[in-house]
Amino acid sequence: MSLSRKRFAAALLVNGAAAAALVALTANGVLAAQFSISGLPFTVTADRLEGNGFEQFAALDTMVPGSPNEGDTGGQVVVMVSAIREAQLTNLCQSINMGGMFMKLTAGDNGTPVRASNLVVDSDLISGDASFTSIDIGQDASTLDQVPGVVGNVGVFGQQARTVVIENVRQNNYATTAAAFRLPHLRMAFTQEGC
Amino acid sequence: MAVSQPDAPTSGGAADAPTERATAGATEGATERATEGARDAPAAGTAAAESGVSAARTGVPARGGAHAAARGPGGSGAWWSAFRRWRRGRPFWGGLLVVLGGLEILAAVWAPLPVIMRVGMQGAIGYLIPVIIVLCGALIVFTPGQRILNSCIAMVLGLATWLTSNLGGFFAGMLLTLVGAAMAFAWRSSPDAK
Repeated sequence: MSLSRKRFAAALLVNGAAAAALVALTANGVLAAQFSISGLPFTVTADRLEGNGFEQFAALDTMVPGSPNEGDTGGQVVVMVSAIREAQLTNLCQSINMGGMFMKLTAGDNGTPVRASNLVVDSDLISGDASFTSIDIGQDASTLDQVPGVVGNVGVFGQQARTVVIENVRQNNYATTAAAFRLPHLRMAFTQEGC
Repeated sequence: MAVSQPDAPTSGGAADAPTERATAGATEGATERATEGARDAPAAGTAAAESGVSAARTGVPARGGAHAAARGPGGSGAWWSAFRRWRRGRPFWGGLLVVLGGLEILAAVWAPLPVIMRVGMQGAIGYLIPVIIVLCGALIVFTPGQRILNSCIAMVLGLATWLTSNLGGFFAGMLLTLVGAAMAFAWRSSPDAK
């Protein structure tokens, strides 16, 4: 295979400059990055989460019939779906377990918080010290309206609040999240331990 | 007639195996001719490849037969050299890197479809772009004549995945795609062309 060195260098230079600009703009919180992760277990922690428009309800995830992970669950697991319309997170840390190694991403630790919109997370564990305003507990999950477009099934327990503040958030997520993140002071690294 | 000659070039409904062999033979012929043609006129790579394909079409049965024999005992060397010739006739490594990059990004965003539907197709763009990148990589390999267009599209979309798909599959997929696309962009069909 023969390459034209000049063209290869030119293409890489242009690509590299554009990529560097994207990374810089993202790290300054100017551009928002879209996340949707699944199949990989990942953890999200933050010192403080402030949200406008909060919904939470249960959902049933069904495994593939005969899945080795079934155990005694009968192939179904209950997950918590949490949705926040607009969230601000201080000292965000997100780590993805890649089999012994962790891909760790930190942001929002220099005074400017991370901003996320339409954050939807399926988790099996959420911990932290939470306070809500205007909370409705026990509302039918199909009638939730704090986050546009995100509702549960009819007859399922749900709760929603106008605002939410959670200190020392820790989430174990294993299904997915889809959200636009603004990540000031972004830093990515491969580390031996997660968040 | 067609039954006794499964490799006949006129048989429109050629069985799968002969077609595969015929393709290998055709690309082999195309590559040789493309190299020859490129030596005569360096800019005529695409045209030479086309004529190579049409010429190979007529000469397929013999080449196909030879190939089948070469695949017999001890034929892996011949198969490998045929593959190498096929590989050298196209920006193979560049295309392969683009495909791998697209797959890596896709793997990082992989989620069951109902989950995506529930969040209002917001994450759909994160799937769409890596799929197009994989397509571009395959097209770079299988239609080398259009490598410039396909590699440019792959570059732009590779940059876009930074914003749409988990920071470009956590940077790795984006890097593979960009380097692969740059390699395909810089590829030229003849080693002695300037």
